[in-house]
Amino acid sequence: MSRSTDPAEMAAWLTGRLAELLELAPEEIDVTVPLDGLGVTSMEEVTVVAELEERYGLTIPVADLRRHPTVEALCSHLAGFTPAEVSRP
Amino acid sequence: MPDHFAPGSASHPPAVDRSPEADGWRPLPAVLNGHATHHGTRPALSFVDHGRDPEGTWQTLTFAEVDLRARALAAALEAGFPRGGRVAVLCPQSVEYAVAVLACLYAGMIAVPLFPPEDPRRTERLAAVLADADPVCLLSVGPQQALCQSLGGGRVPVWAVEETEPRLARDWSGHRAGPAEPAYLQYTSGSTGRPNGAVITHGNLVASTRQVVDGCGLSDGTPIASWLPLFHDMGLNIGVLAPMLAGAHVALMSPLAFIQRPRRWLRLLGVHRAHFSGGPNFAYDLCVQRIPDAAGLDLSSVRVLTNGAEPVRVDTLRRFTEAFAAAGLAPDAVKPSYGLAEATVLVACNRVGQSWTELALDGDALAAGAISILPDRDRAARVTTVAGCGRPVGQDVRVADPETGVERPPGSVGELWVRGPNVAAGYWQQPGPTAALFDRVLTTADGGEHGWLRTGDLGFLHDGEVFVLGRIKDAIIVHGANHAASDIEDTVRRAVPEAVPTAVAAFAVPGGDGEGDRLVVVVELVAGPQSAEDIGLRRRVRAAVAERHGVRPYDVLAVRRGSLPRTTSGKLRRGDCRARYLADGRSPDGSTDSKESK
Repeated sequence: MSRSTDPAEMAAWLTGRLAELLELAPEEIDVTVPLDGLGVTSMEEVTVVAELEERYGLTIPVADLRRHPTVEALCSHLAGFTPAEVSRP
Repeated sequence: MPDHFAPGSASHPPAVDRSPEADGWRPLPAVLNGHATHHGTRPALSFVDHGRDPEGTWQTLTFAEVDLRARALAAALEAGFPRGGRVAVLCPQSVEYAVAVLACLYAGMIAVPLFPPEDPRRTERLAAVLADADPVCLLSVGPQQALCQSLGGGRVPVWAVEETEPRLARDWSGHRAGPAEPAYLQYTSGSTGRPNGAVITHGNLVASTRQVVDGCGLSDGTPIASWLPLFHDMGLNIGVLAPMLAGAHVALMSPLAFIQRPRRWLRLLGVHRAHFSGGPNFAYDLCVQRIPDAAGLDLSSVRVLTNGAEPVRVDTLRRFTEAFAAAGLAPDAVKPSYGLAEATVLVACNRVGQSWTELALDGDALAAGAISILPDRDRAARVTTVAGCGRPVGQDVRVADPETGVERPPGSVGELWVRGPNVAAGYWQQPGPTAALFDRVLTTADGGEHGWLRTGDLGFLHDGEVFVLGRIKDAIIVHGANHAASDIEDTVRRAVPEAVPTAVAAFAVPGGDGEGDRLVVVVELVAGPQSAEDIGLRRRVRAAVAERHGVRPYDVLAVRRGSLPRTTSGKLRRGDCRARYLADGRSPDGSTDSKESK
């Protein structure tokens, strides 16, 4: 079920998802601003990251998000990963 | 009592202040020490880590190990700091967190259960609490020590709990806290204003935990599971205090692991054959939304799932119960309950084997403060269905007029007042707020009675059961966290200089199906409501409030200047703003706003 981890594709998906959440147009999402600065709550952040994990077959430690808090940084970071072979609970 | 402990109200000691020797007083460490002696090899405390292995990796300590680690850290604390100093616990959810809190109790230090400084959205709040509690030491774990160092400004020592040398255990003094000695400070969640730390004494702790143990039917043979954050009153009790008092085996997981995949919680209940767990209302909605089918889950062991810490919704109770019936969930397993940090944790709950009561109330009578139960809920146009939170557990609950403190007759709505051995001594070094809420006089037909806690919650009693309708105080509860309306309004004022500073109102309204309360913000704009779109009002308010408070307003509304309801002295009447918003389908100035609400 894992898809490619092309950072551009991932960033586009994540931007679209955040735009939906924040009720903004995707072009209004600044990919260089930390998610908390965009107004994403910590619970939403976790939920979106869980969706990202499921969609791309990744395991994303929360510490990664803290170290790479923007859409751009997170997606470039994650692009370096190969999808993990894990069975999800 | 240490001389630097200065509660706001010292005139009336708490009701638990009995002679320690006469009634066989045993503080929690003495009880836990007894479990370690009598059945030390039994598992006590597990942490299931979903961070590395999505299936969860178990780490388990026996009663002897928990006791040993707590004594060792207690000995180190005793050697380093004077008794009664505050010790902030900044560990992540882990066995170390539990050990840290217990060690403080063993040492006679006042624990301050907090959270790691990871999330930038919460560091301001953390700093405010630390400034209030003025800790002598911060307890953390290795990887986070550096972050904690910077938080303490380098002045407060930061210890890594797991580095405690176990051999120190034999140096523990054996300190036996008296019931009036402060055990921990429970800071109420969410608010960014001046933090209020309820002073929970050792007497409160034991009395309250006994209430939980009795009310929820716990024993040393009833496994417990919890994902609730340990810095929250309910989380600390279910996750550490109740199991350690009862001698039961608790399995903890992190709140994050639950939010990521709610199914992990329900799986843990099955794997651990848990009897007892709990969560705020939103947790049950989250499970229904995010767990498409109950296949592979086994909830047949579960007897008590408390639903508390935020308004309980009948729809949520029904939906969750129905969704997981196929997994063997008993129809009476979910237990609406009521509690607050100022009463340590629990006030009332539905007992084992009893299903919750639902009442259909006449909405018009309710708005006028009267309880009128409708026999047939389809007949009336305006029906409010409420779920009962069960009978009080080992304490008294009455309904009072919030203005006069006079007890209200049966069948009427008023402020819930609580009196019992679990009611806290007051707020830490806050005489003003302490005097306003604690040790109030309730005027009854027989005269005045001292020692009552004002809860700030609106409710009523019916057949001895407590029903909660909402907050009197201007508090907004979303996802189990309390947000003071005034804090949110301050944030909006700062983010929107175009708003009339005295005309910003924040309030909560009930959400739709499967949702908690919704936050609504209404502002008067200097340039008029039509400018709202030009200045990006909605976006700015939503981003600013979410960033600072962790909750995003559902609706942001601009109204004509001078149109919001005010008192004669010009102060905004938040309650009336809310009532108008609800009555007029949203707009509190009486006009209908064209903007679509989402």
